[in-house]
Amino acid sequence: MSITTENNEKMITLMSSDGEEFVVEEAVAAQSQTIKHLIEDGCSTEGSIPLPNVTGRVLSEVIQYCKKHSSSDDKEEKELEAWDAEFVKAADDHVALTDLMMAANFLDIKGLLDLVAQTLANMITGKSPEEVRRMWNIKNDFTPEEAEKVRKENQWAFE
Amino acid sequence: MRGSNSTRDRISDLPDNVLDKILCCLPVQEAGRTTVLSKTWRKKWETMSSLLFVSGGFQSPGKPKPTTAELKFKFFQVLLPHKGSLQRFCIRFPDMEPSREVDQIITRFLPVKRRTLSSKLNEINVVVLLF
Repeated sequence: MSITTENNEKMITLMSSDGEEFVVEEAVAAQSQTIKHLIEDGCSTEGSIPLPNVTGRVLSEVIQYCKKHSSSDDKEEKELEAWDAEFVKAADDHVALTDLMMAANFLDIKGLLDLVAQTLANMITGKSPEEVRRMWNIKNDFTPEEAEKVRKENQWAFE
Repeated sequence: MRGSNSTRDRISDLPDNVLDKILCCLPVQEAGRTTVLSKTWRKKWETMSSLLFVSGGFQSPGKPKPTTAELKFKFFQVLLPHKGSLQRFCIRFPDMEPSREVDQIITRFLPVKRRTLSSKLNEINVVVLLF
């Protein structure tokens, strides 16, 4: 049995990998193409959908995004942009951003995926390879000879 | 700081399509520089699904604007090692008039099936969709 609100809006329960439950309007949850298809295919049992790939912490952030984006229309584009900027700022470190990116990918929320991808891309912009490696703990696995070769091949990018 | 394991390289571990999305947000020059990060990144660059050329990155501070011939050479250098199938190829050059030469560069290097041309605010914005 699914619950409805006073406005007759159908509610749906999302369950995170760590067992946290979130009751949201179906229109909010349907911002995620994955959830939308699950609902359409009748995969929700009594209005509950388990999301084994997303933790409660990340899911609550994703729902915040979906709520905002399902209640705004095109006229509020500027306001929405400012809201998005604040939203990614709150998920400030790259670990939180990669978690958010993985969730957006799994849940298939294009707007959120684009937003986080652009945020991570902006973090690379203007930084030296060494700075990027340090920021993201990327291990340089080239031998000095290989490194020299790759650098030469892509010299145009460093000019 | 949130996250329990912040010393792990979580970015390189992202699925291919996700990392591709991040790279495609960058102008080609910035994306090209990621090739030297590690073997994983070098491979990702070669198969990027979308390339974004913006004039600013091809112009060093204090140096004159690159000529069309120089740009042609840059395009060639970028496209030659590319291995994947490109879905989108975008050029943003303010001040550059849409010209036959630019057209030639595009048609010469890419099997164009669909192209949208839009000019806004003095900027030539060529988006070539390839599929």
